[in-house]
Amino acid sequence: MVEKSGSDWRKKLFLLNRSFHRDIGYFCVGLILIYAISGIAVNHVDSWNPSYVITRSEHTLKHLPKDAESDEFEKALTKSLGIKTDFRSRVRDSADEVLFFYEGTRVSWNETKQQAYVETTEKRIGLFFANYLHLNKAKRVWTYVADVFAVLLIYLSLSGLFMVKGANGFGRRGWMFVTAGIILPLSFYYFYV
Amino acid sequence: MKSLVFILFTVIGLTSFAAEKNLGKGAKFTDAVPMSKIMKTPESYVGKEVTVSGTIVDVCAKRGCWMQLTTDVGNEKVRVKVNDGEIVFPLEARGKKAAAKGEFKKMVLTLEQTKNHLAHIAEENKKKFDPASVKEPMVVYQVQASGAVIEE
Repeated sequence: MVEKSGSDWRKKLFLLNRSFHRDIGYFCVGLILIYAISGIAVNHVDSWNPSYVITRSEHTLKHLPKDAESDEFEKALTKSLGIKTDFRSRVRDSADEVLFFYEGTRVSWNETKQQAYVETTEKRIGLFFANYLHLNKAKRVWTYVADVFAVLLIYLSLSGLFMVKGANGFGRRGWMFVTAGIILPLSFYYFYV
Repeated sequence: MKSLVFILFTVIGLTSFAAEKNLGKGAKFTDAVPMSKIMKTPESYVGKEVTVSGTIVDVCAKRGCWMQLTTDVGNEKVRVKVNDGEIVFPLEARGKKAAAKGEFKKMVLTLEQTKNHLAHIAEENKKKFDPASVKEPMVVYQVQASGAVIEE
């Protein structure tokens, strides 16, 4: 009688764990994808910009007004370059260069060469948002969301150990894979760090 | 279920709107010390907390780990640096006014370090750079920021 009650308790716990694991797993799909995709993107930050597409071009423009720091010049430059976004500000950068800032565009005007060096930045669709969250640029509330997500991941990994019974369970086969997964980072640390 | 979706969107909304203006511990435009004043006696500011302000001329494109602000000293700029990830300066903030608060640091570079430093800046700006054109080592002053504010 005692044995049966113990067995029931274990069975209930097993089913409860499965249910929690399943539903939390569903809940975490979006976040896991965001963090994993962004993880790959920022892992290669040395070879590309994971958040922005930066386009650069050079234009030689003649017949613009002489005073590069006048409103008249700014309007002529904007028109010549076909910039449609809002003008933000203008700054003298060096003796012969003036910078013009627009929404999403920076123009470096070289007075000597009469050349405009245009740099346009656009957020990468999807990836910008994923990186924004993954790198916790938002801080504040997102810090706590990320903490909760991390706790849920810990739960998923540990509860997963008890999901399967029998020959493929943790006790008979699973522990080997778990051990291999732990050895991988440890051996990396031992040999490379 | 509806309330869960509402909470999720509220959280996302709050985080994305609140974050852009004040970064890290924040800063006040009114606390800004003109660079012309700092550069009269830079040594007296080294190691101390200062607030600088100006127009954002450039931002680290990949990591947002530094920005350059205009100053009231000719065409000179002041570099505001943060530790990776602590604060991320948004690239799209170029051309906006900003103030940054942090430790004023002095870095005495060797000739080789000066060349590397200038080569790195040129590379980031996709500009040509000739190391042979650098004849003297530089002293670089920068603000190691703990907070910043960017005008919307």
